[in-house]
Amino acid sequence: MVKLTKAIITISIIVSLLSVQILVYAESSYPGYVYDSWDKVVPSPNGYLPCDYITGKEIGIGDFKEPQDLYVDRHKNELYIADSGNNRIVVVNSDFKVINVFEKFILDDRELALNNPKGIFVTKEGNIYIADQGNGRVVVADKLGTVLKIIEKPESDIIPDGFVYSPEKVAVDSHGIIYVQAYGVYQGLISFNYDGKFLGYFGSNRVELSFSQIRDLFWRKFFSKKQKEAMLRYVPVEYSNVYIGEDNFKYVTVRHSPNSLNEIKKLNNLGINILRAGSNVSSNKYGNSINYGDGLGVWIGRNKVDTVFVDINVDSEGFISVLDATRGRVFQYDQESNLLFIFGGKGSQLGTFKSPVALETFNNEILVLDSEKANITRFSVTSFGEMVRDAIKLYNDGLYEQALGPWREVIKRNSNYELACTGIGKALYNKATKENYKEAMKYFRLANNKKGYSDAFRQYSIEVVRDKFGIFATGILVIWLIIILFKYRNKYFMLLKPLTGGHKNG
Amino acid sequence: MDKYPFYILLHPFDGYNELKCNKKWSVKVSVAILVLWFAVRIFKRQYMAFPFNPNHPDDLNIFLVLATTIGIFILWVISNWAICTLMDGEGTPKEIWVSSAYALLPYIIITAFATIISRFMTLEIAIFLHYLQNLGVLWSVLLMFSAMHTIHQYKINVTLITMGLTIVGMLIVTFLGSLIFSLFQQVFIFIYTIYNEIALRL
Repeated sequence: MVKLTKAIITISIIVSLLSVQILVYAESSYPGYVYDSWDKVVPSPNGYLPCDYITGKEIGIGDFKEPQDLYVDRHKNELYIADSGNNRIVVVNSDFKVINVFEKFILDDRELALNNPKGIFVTKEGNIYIADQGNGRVVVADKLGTVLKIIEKPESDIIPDGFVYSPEKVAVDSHGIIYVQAYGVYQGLISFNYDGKFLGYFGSNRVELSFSQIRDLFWRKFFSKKQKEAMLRYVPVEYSNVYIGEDNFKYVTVRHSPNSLNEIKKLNNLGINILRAGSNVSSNKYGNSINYGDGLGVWIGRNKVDTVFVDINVDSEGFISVLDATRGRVFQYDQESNLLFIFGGKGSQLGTFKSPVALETFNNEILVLDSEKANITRFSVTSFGEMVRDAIKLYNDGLYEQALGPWREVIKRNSNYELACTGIGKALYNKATKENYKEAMKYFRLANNKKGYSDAFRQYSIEVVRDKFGIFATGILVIWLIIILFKYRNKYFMLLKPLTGGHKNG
Repeated sequence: MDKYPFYILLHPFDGYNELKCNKKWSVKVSVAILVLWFAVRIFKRQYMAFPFNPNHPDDLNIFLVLATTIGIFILWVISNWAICTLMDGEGTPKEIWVSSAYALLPYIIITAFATIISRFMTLEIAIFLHYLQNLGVLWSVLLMFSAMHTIHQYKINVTLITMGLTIVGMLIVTFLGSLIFSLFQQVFIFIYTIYNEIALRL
């Protein structure tokens, strides 16, 4: 008996020791979170985690000095780094081995040096467009380093006098039109045609209405001319970066949005923003505007600290990633402006930045360039991230039922993910049975999707009435009969009286 | 159960006349109505069906609801009494309190009914729900108007002016209240700072 107990105890101890797993996992240096439809912060697993970082010394060309831009040539799978402090352009391949370093360019047998090249763009032909900020020009060179064209300051009647041309970023569309984002220009992007002729401003922002503006408008009526001149001028906001992808749309980021809305725009050829809230957002708080980035800004003392996007990139599947310089975070959205992930931060650990300036997608990784640390951090997608992206791709193509499996996987890992709840709700709604409608209602409620809930509820109630129609009809009939009996009860007793009365008396 | 408030629902002017002349008021019933009003507000906020409810269920602040129902009611009565005394009204505070409370009844009934039936409605027929709720509010406003007219024995245009002035009075009271609050805060901070200075020097 004692032996048996001892045996049992020994075996149970051994089994319990064997089932202890030592989990080793990397804690990311930033919290994973997303915003729900109430604009509340909700924890979420990370979609991207840092895997490595690259410095100039590592790849053998000496440290970068305040690098300012990255560009990935997707046709040749090469990465161009604008090493602005060293006035050179570095080209690496997908293994991060140096292919080429452009220190000087050749123009008509003379050497051309750059001064603080802040922006870089490479067309499919392999021509390199460099925003040479220090020299106030855009230099176009081919892949051998021969200068093809220099585009100087634009001259026109619509350019204000005393305009200091300081080009920061450049992009070229498939027709060869060059778009330059210049410092201090609030009329939009400066566009040149292929020959370098100034075509006009592109994508002028509308002045976004804000409370301080209305207040100032009121006070202007009472002020003298001198006081009015000292007041803040409300001008359309200036852009901070531009990206043109395969689809030829111009994705721009706005440097400061006074009401913190529409900080990203996708402009078509007419300069109209076509990024709209997706159809799963049933109640859009800000009308047609969308609040990108972290919240609506916070007031610290007298300053408003808000998200300032400095770079934007669209990967081959259409997902939009933007880099916020204020808090060093990367936000990834889909084409319907649904927020997918937020990652990154400010700090000194891997995955955080001191001064992030540029963002690119290279071989399914996201690269972030830090000008102060002078390195490039590589972020790779996690399994959670892959699942969400797969599910969203199917969902946005309308394949709700196929997306159901991936969405359920996402929910297993993050029950706070509202997009997944809407996805599951829509998939269940398509499978028209009573139980599915009921479950769809539950998921729509979790997703805060009022339209979806209402539709599922309507179908569910139709099914319930259809099923229980017999009971409903009989019930109504019985109630009606009782009411009739009650109303005319006296008349019935009068009718019955001769029978009972006669009986009793007799 | 006093059937009198229900009589007022459909016969406002007669009802309020009887209230004033025959002193048919009942403070207990008015307090019951006020408590019901507070309860109906919370009921609507939490139990209104999901497609029509813009509130987050976790964000219920009972003190805020209390302040916006009972608080505003008390403010209204005080302000109304003050204004009407200035404008030669004949209403006593008790009459104002009771008649204002009775005027809330249609809003309470209709809101409770609307909240219950909203659970069976879809978004397409939301407009009927809004219509119903607006009807409740409008009816209460009309009752309030007739109450003011009868209690203070004013002409119609004077009643409207008085009601407007009462609202202005409420705003002034609120403003003065917050002013006093922040002044007291300054006094408190002053005394506290001096106390700290002395305490740390000893």
